Amino acid sequence: MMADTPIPTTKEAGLLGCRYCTRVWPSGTKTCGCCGSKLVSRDLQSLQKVWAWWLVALICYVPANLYPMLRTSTLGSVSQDTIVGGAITLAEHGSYFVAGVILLASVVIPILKFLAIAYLAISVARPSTAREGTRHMLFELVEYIGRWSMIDVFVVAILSSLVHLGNFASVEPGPASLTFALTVVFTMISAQSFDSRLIWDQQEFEKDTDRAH
Amino acid sequence: MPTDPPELKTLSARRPLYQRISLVWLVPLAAVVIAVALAAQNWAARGPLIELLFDEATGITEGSTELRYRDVTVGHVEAVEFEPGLERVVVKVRLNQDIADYVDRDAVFWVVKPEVTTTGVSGLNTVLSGVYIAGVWDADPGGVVLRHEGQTKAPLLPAGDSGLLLTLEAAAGVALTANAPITYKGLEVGRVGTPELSADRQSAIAPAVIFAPYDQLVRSTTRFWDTSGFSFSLGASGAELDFSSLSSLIAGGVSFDTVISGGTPVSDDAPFQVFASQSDARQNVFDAGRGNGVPFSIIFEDNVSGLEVDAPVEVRGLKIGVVTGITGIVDEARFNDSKVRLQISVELNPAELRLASPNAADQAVEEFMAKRVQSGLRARLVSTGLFATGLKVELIDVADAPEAELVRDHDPYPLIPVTESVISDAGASAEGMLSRLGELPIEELMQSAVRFLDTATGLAANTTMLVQDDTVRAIPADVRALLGDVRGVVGSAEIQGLPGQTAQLLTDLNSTVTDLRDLIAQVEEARAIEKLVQTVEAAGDVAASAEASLAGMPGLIESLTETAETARALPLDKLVARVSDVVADVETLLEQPGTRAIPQTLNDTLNEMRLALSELREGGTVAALNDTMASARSAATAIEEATVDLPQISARIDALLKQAAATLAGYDQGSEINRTARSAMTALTRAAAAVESLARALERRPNSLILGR
Repeated sequence: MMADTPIPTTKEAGLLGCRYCTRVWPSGTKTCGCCGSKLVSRDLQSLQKVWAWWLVALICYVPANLYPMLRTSTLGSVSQDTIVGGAITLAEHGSYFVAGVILLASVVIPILKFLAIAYLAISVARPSTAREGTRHMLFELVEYIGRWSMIDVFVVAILSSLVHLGNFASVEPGPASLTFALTVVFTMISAQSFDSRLIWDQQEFEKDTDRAH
Repeated sequence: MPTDPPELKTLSARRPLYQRISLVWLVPLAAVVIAVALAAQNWAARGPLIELLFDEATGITEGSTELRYRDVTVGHVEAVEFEPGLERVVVKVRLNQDIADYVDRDAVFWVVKPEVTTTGVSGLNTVLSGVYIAGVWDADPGGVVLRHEGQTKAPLLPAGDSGLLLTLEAAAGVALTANAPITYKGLEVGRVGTPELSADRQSAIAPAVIFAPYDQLVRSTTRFWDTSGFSFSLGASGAELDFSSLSSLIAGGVSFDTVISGGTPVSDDAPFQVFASQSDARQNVFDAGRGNGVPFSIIFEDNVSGLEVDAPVEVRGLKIGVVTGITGIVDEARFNDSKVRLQISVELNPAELRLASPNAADQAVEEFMAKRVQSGLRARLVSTGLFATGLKVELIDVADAPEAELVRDHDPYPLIPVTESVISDAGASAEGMLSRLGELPIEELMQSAVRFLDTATGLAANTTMLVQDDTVRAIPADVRALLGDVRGVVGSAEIQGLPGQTAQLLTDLNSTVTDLRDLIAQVEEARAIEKLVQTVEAAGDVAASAEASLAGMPGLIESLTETAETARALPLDKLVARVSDVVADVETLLEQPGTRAIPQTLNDTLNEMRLALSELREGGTVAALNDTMASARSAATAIEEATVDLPQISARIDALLKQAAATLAGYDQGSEINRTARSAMTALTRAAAAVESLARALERRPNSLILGR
């Protein structure tokens, strides 16, 4: 695949870009003189980090779905609901919109995030047919949307701090709320660990292959 | 042509493994380790899964229903399933590990749910939170037992609590209520469990518990009774509504008391009977209780009315059993006729027989009876008392009884032979006695007494007239003697020497003179006036001598003089003669056989009565009052009518006596006539008093004539 107006990378220009403050330094500079972060042309361990954090997030995601998210006690009767169970209960009571939002934010998006990160990590390691721009879009989307998964955790936090009416009614966070928050945090770290420049390198590799032919 | 720059040799240096592998892999490793550790810990802390069998799983939900011990959650229901056959529900409960060892064989489980009963509301907290399963077990770890039968109710005495478990048996007419309180002197000390039929289906039994420390109150001599319901009685003292408390009226209740001291402490599950009332319980305190009795049959030749179920069976007055049933029996095969005979069933109480232990075997009692029957023991019917018409069964040793055996194979119970019944005919004899009493001529007696007294009164009237007769002669001399006495007194040195006593003397004198004036008024026409005047003048001299000391004397003397002058005009001799006549008449009156006979007649009357009463007593007439009351009443009425005259009699006697006394007042105390009259009068007075007291007694208690008291 050929780009119409090929944009030179810093690597091709013999330069080195900072991943955090985006300042460009001559090749061979070890630390960014602007923000002090370590400068590497390509983070060779990036994929390892992605996979490691991805795995931790997945481990946390299991109890997040098995354990109750909320403990609601009303006049002595305690009810506990998992994420999916709560959404189903809401749907049974007719609140399809709220149930949909919860399902989207707490189930669909995290799963898609897992899939997206895994896809990106695989695609840079193996030959891929996907377009460079599409993958960048996907990466940006994952980065952007990841934080919204925390909405569930926020709802639990706000409810449990607001509803404290003693024996009449009280809401406490269940064990799943903690692990779910951890899942979100770990997926975000996993996404951040991904060195998007690797996408370009694969592009070059393909270009080289094309040139060779 | 520029030469290509030399190919940049990029050697991929083979770096060691630790440099190629990022340290970040430690994070998932740690996560895995933590997860595994948590899982392992959870698994290790998981208690055993026990199965509880219930008839139904009302309100039990999987996952959320708790198992509680002393209201602390020690487990959760994990599953609710059916037993194979769908007979019962199996509730699987995950126990906490720390408590599991205590859930051994004696653990008891039940479902706590809200309940509203007559004794109160319980399990209210489960209305909102849902039911829970409660369990109790003792504090000794005995190893977990995985399968338990669930109870429908909380145990009466939870394991670990101290108290006394009893078995209560309801007597006839007693309804035991589940959960009813057991009270002791108004204090709630225990509870009745759920009643059920006894094994022989003869009565209802219920477990009951007396909590510590009150369990010490229950002894072997303790009796329980039912306090529920109310009693209403309408009697002479008015209507009476009685119930112990409103709550026991609604919810029922059992109370107990140890009626006689002593007794031994009872063991767990000791049986006790619940009586219908406290009085029943007290009455039964010496009984070992019904059901322990040994049944026998007795066949009497005739049907005799008056024998009832529960009539006593006695030996020489000691109650040893009760009649439990009365039926007629026709047995042509045995008796060779078709007569209806009276077959009664009795229960003899071995405890009362003092045979052996109260629980002596039926066989032993039977043996004993067989032996006694051989030596002459027979049954007979006997009247229960003199008044009652009821009958009882008596076992008596008949010395010369014809040979008989205890018929052991008799249906339904062994047959005790009988002897002749003794049913007293007390009613008839009592009636005869009372009619004889009614025929006594009491009225005639009274009438004649009244007649006699009438004549006596007339006589007395004559006597007063006679006093005014000329022939009364003895009086002036007596009067003179009297005045001489007066003079003697007046002239005594004491009076002259003691002016202080003079006033007293004068007062006495005054009254004497007043009396004299009365007398003199009566003897106006007497001839001995002159002597009287002399006497009075002498008295005037005495008075004159007293004048020196007292100022009021002249008036007195004047009145005395006046009196004397009035006396002069009196026809005293006539009076004296009349008095004489009266005395003579009275004497003749007293010598009349009629007068003499009065006390005698009364005496005879009383004697007759006494005789009648003793007859009554001998004949046992006091019995069967219901039959004889009518005639007794008629007799009493006759007596009452007769006694109406009695006060009249006594009044007349009184009047007569007064008149006689007035007449005789003028006589000298020492006179012979007077003495005779006086003694006659005394006799009369006594007779009158006797009649009066008899009249009063009869008025007060007419039946005393019958009862002899």
